[in-house]
Amino acid sequence: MPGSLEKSGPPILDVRGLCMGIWSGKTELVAVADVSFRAYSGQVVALVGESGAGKSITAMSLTHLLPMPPIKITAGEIRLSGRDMQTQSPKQIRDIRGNEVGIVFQEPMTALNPSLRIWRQIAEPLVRHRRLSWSAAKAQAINLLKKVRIPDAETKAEAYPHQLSGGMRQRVMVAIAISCEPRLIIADEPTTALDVTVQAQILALLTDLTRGLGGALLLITHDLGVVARYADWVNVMYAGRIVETAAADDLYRDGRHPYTHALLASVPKIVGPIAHRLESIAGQPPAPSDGTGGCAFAPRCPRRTERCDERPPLSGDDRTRNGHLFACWNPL
Amino acid sequence: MNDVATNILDVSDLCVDYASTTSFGVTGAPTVRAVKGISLTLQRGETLSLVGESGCGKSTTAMAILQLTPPSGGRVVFDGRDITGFSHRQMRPLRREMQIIYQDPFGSLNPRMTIADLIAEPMAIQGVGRSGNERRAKAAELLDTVGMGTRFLDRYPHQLSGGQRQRVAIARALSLRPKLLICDEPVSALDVSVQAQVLNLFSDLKEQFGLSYLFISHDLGVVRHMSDRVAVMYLGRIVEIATRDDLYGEPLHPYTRILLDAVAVPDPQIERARDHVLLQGEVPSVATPPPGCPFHPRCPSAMPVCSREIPPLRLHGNRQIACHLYDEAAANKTIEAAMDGNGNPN
Repeated sequence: MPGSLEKSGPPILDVRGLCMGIWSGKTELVAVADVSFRAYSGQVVALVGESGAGKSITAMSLTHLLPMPPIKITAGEIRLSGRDMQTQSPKQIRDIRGNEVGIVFQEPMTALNPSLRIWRQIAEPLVRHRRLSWSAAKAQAINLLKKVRIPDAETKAEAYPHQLSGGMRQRVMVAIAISCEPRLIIADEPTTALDVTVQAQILALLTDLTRGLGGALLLITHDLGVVARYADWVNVMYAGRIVETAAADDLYRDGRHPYTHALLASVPKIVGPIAHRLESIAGQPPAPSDGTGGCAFAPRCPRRTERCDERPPLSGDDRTRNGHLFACWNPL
Repeated sequence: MNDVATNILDVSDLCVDYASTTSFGVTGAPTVRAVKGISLTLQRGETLSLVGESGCGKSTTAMAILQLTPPSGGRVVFDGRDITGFSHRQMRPLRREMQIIYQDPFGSLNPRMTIADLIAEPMAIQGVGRSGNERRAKAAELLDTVGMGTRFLDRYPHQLSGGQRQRVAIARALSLRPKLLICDEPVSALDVSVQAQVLNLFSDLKEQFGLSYLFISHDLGVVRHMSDRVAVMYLGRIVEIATRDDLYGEPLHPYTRILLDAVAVPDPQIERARDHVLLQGEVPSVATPPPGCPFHPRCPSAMPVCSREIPPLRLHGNRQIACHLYDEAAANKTIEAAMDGNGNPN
């Protein structure tokens, strides 16, 4: 997998200081705080973390796919190919969604319309954005089904979602996402519901297609193996913040944040020495309401000191390189 | 080694049929054989894992062992007793000794019961403990055993996190001091940091209570960490069964190899060094299995014989494999041995 770190041109996606709140009815909970990252052409950028870390809400905010209210962007900037997404009108957002940004969701069975034939769902963005006729869009839909390597594409185009297997449905989702040749593909846990051999097929397909289109892939996942295999750049999220950001190689070889380290150590692996006990992290990830002034990981952290009551900034030191940053007073 | 006295579980040639239904639930359609002649043994204190992709029959095998799904053929011997075809009534006293933990702690705990009642319920059903108070005390002790404080006793499942709920499910299963614990994807719904806690708990409990585990998972990393031996299943059959170190050190069945290869290792340097063979296609339906070896349509090493004959599971060194590649190897070796026996210099 050729790692692409060279920044060809301006970033496709540029998120700066994104803060998001959720109105609970009484107070505003902090869901995402001060999140910044970029994705350049040809790159696979991962947002990784456990449930509740703020990965999905960050990704879904990019194309305004969230109910607002109760969710609100309280600060920060999202730029897609240079345009400020927050100043776009709802109509402009609809023109971007599915056109410049393709999205692959985790659950193809709920994301696909059960009452429409497969080809119709792939053709829809082509008719909407590219002004193709339905018959031209249908021909293109069949081509796309071939591109995502669905065997017997002509027959499958006439099928309904329930007639396909989970892997095939996810291929259809990929076909829809790439139909308008987007600059950015957002894949939110795209293979979590799939078997491991099918997972590998879909992820290889997604990364190949993204690079083929010269776009960027934003991969949201909790699977550190998947990140290692496919991502060029990794953002580790915890309790709504990025706690470490680095090129994949740097993160895995020289992760500095204790959470990154603990997360990697707690995955049982298929290679390497087998420890009698796994290194686990005591306690559990905090809910958004548990916002404290200090480092959110401190209550679970073995390296905690008094200083952790103050929030550490995301920064590098003389050992980090290539823009590797971490937010910790007592790094490894 | 296969002495009945040392084995907690002996399963031979287990088959399970399901009546296939149409989309309107009308039965009468032909039956589907979901499990096709599974044989395995579990020694006391051992952890044997069943791995495979969805629909391979792992969970059905577990349900048939517990007689929760009636087997349509074969034999299940638990702790020296043949329990095949036992009724629910006959099984009831045995349920103390064999318990199951399911994947979804959200679905397996009654939301209207407190944690204390949930843990005490199996004891009440089995008549363990003299009074409700005694069972409650026992429940408190068990909560402590699974690493949760007694302050949880009067809470309800919805007040707990996923990891805590799974701990409650474990406490509930342990309440009757079982000999065998079947764990069906017990950590699949948990975040990795919590998953590690629960896996460590399983290891501790095994030592503390002398448990034997039949561990079902699709996660090959988890299985490597937990198992003494591993059985790989595909489309209702075991295709390879070996010790953990043999299987992960040198997987022999083409399916085992591809399955391990598909797992991404959390290390980019290792990932770049591996060559990935992507498996073509998907698992066929058990209702319409291909002829011959069930894996042959996707197998990179398929030979003509593979589409004609189902390879039996046979001994190969220290392990068992169901693959014609190794029959052939065995056959070649036999020929070589015969030639040497005839005095041919080599």
